[in-house]
Amino acid sequence: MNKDITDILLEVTETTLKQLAFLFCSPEPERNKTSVDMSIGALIHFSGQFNGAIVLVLSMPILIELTGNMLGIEEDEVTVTHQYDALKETLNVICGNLLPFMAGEKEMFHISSPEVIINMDELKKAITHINGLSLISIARMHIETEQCDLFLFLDDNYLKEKE
Amino acid sequence: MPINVLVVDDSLVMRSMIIKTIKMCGLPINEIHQADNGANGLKILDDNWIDLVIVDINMPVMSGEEMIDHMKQNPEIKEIPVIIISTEGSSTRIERLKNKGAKFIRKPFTPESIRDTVNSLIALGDSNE
Repeated sequence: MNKDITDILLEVTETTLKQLAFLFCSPEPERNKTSVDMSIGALIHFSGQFNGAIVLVLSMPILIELTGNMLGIEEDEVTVTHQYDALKETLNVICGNLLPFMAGEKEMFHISSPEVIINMDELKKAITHINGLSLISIARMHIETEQCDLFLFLDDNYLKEKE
Repeated sequence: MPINVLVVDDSLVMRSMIIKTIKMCGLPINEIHQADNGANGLKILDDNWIDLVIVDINMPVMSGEEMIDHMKQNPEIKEIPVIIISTEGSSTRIERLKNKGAKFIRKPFTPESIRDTVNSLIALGDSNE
């Protein structure tokens, strides 16, 4: 796993969650597993100088808190539609802010619409394998006692660029 | 004079955040309209008097950039100030958007960035006008 990229992932995620939703996450490098139980995921693809994808896995309680904070409403007012939308938008912001760190500020990328992954088997698969891409980095964090993990997949072009 | 604002973003949550922020900024707001893509945004512009457009870039059906291009071709709406609030990180693309006359705010935004940008774009006038 690439430590430099993991550090960037951690920094971008921390800033995004803090500014979007007043949530404070901390790296959890000692944890080496992501639980998909009581969790939900989102997947986003990007293409440009290099191609890749990011999967965000959040514990459900954190997603509800994130959504409530983004909307400024109580957690019992948060609907499932709100949750999915907040999850997708959060991943969209993380992706948009990550790419300039990796490719430089001039490079243009096409970023796909994020998709939510509810099914546990699909989520398990998404964090281990995406067609045509290699898993480059995992950033595991916690918010309070809940997990917030990011998986970055890239194609060979990124590694060739860096060589 | 109170202004009418159009917020165009495919994310309901992001539209709500932007609208909440605009209301918190102490700006004189009359009506706030919403659309989930550029095409629906143009329909609202056809039917309503809008003083300020706040638009995302990456949206299904019609992107924010396409919406701005359509606006610039229509003499009736081409002068409406536009603020782009987007995750776009490419300085090349941001510069291209700025050359179309739009201001740019990167997500995640602060309330101050929206307030200051709106103030710089809109001549709000005074109560005697």
